[in-house]
Amino acid sequence: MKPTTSAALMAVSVENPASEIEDVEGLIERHRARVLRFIFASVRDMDVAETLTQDCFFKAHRGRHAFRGDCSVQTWLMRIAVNLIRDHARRRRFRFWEKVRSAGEDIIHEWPDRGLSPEDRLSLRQQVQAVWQATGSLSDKQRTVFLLRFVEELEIGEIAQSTGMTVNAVNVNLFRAVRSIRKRLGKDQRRS
Amino acid sequence: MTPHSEENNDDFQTAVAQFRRALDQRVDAHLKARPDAGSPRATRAAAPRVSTRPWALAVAVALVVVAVGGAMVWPRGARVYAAGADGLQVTLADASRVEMRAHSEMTVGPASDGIQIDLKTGDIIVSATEQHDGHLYVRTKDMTVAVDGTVFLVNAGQDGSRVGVIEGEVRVREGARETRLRPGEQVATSPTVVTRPLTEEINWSKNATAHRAILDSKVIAPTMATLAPSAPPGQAAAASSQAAKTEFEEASIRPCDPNNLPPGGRGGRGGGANFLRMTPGRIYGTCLTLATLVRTAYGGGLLDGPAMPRQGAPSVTTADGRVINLPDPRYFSGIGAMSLDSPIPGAPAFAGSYFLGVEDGVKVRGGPDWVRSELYTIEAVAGGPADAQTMRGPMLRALLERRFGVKVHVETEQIPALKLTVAPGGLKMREGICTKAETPSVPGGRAAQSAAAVRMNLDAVRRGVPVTGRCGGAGALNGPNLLMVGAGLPVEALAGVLAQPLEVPVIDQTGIPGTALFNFVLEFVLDDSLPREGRDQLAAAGNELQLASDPSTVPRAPGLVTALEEQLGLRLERIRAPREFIVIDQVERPGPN
Repeated sequence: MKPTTSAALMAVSVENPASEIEDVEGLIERHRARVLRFIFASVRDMDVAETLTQDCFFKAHRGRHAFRGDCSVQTWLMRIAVNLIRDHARRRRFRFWEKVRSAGEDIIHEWPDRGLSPEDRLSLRQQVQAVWQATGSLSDKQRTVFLLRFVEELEIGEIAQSTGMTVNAVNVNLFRAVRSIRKRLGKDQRRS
Repeated sequence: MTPHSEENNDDFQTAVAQFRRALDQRVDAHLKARPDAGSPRATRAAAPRVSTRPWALAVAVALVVVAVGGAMVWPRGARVYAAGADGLQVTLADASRVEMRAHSEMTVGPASDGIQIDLKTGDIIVSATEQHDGHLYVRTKDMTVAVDGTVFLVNAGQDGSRVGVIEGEVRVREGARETRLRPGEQVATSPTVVTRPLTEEINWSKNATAHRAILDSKVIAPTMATLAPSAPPGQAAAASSQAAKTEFEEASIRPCDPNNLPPGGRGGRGGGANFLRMTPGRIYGTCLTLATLVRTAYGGGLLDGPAMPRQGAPSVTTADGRVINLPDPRYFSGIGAMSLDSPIPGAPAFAGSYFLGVEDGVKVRGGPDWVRSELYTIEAVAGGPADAQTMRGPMLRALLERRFGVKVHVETEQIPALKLTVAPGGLKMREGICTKAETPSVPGGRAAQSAAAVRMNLDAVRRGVPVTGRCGGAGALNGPNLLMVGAGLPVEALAGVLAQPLEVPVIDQTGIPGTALFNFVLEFVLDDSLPREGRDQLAAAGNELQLASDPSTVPRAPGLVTALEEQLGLRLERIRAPREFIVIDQVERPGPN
């Protein structure tokens, strides 16, 4: 017998292969980087982010029958990710790690040289670091809302769906997050 | 410039856009670096692609049951990774079932005469169907298991592999050597691979109860029967009957009255709530939550409670009145729990009083709230002189399953931990001798005692001469720094000492044998990289713990990680380590006795 592909294996195991969420490989392919990015920016640890991302897709697959289609798949995945991050934060007792991590987890991995002057590169680096540090000092809710709005570019309604917050609460948290980050950016600019 | 000015708004938008770019690059770099990650993609790219990414397959495989005939339905080399905490159940084309523990990884492919599973890491339990024309093979990096039809467990770790048989027979090939294993037997490829009784090894399985029942029927009774000829006929019969019987003969479980606690044993030991007393054939636990009982019965150990009621090392009292000091659990590196094995090799641990602490939701999870709030007192009597391990393990489990209807399974989670290794520059601390001797008493509390020990040993340790007096570890404040002095301490004890202020498990991977004892001085600044609680406790000790007459004049030492490397030649690196916990699936309040 000819070996079957993993896609074929899945095809015999799912009820509705046409559905986006039934196609696990496709789902992961399309959303993995995005989910990983959001979780990494939230938990600030790539190892943890990788684990939570895997858990996210595993939960998504396991709970795919509960998906009613009343929001986009991305919003649904973000809702699972938000819950995983919340659980992770609840379990987190190892404050020491945050310090160890701050030395090891640098958001700027490689800065592509696009003919920028050293001064411009430094300025960009400072800006990014300022936002990175500012998001780290936000409350969990503010950080989640900020990342979903400005990094994942979700609409306010989608953020409310993903986080289980009211639209009003999303707006309030977003306003406070932006104010806090602007303040930080302003301070850094004055310092430089 | 106000925070809402136009210019500032532009700056904000630019900074956030750059921030997003940096995040994308960081994620892409991570995906590139991961060998199983597939090709990295720009986050916003839309076109879907079909890939055979094993990572994706792992998620899919959880629910795959392929109803296709023929010899093989698995693609060659299909990798399966058990993501999530629940593990995976995989059914192979020949209807053999493989239960994978969480975070295990294997590859399933064809063999010349059957199916081959390559276990890369983790644990699996294979329930192989009868192989009519071929074999099912399980291969690890250092051995191959061949079976016809049986149930067995395979573990593959960094140090080596291990196989244990639950039912049937397997052939284990390790190089040129071949071993046949029968139910209850285990073999490991390396002496450093830790083996526990098979009944405990399978705790993580969702079918653990069924596997244990098979082991009980296939292993315990026959084993005892083979031992019988060396004993007088009467005793042999009794032993056999006792072995087959893993339940208490009489047992009482009743709600605890916290106002009417029984008195403790000799010296007050063992009285009050949360204590478990054991004498040969009898177990008595006072005012324990069911969660605490579950932790005790299903492998949480007895001495890993969140608090110890006594100062100093714990001890057990043997039936003949001897007091045996147990290793202090604080000297253990956190992962796993101390067993109740006797500290004397070869001698059974059979009597003693044990403070269990209160299960705090870390080791035992799930179940209704009353599991963690209602208190019970249990008293049970075995039909014969059962030892402590049997009573607090299989017999207590059977009691809980019968009276509370308890059903549990074991899951694994990955937690942050620290690995202690020898730094690239080599070990800088020296082996030293410490001879215990009476020392003059020092007025004051524990802080004063600790400071006195540091003062006493500091000079000798710094000069590299043998220490006479108080052996062990002690700490004191030296200005803004914590000064730790070790006298005659093994490295594993140092790992345990470090785990306390850091609040994470520290795993000793230095490879230095426990017989090597060191005298050392370690001084590091108490900065905010250390947990606040520990620093607050040290600050609360005040002057009693302070060595410096004027703390403000003492220069700051390096941080702990740097100090360890510079002063002792040891390195702390962060890793992720597995931690088991027990999940209560089913439970009900007990009926009347």
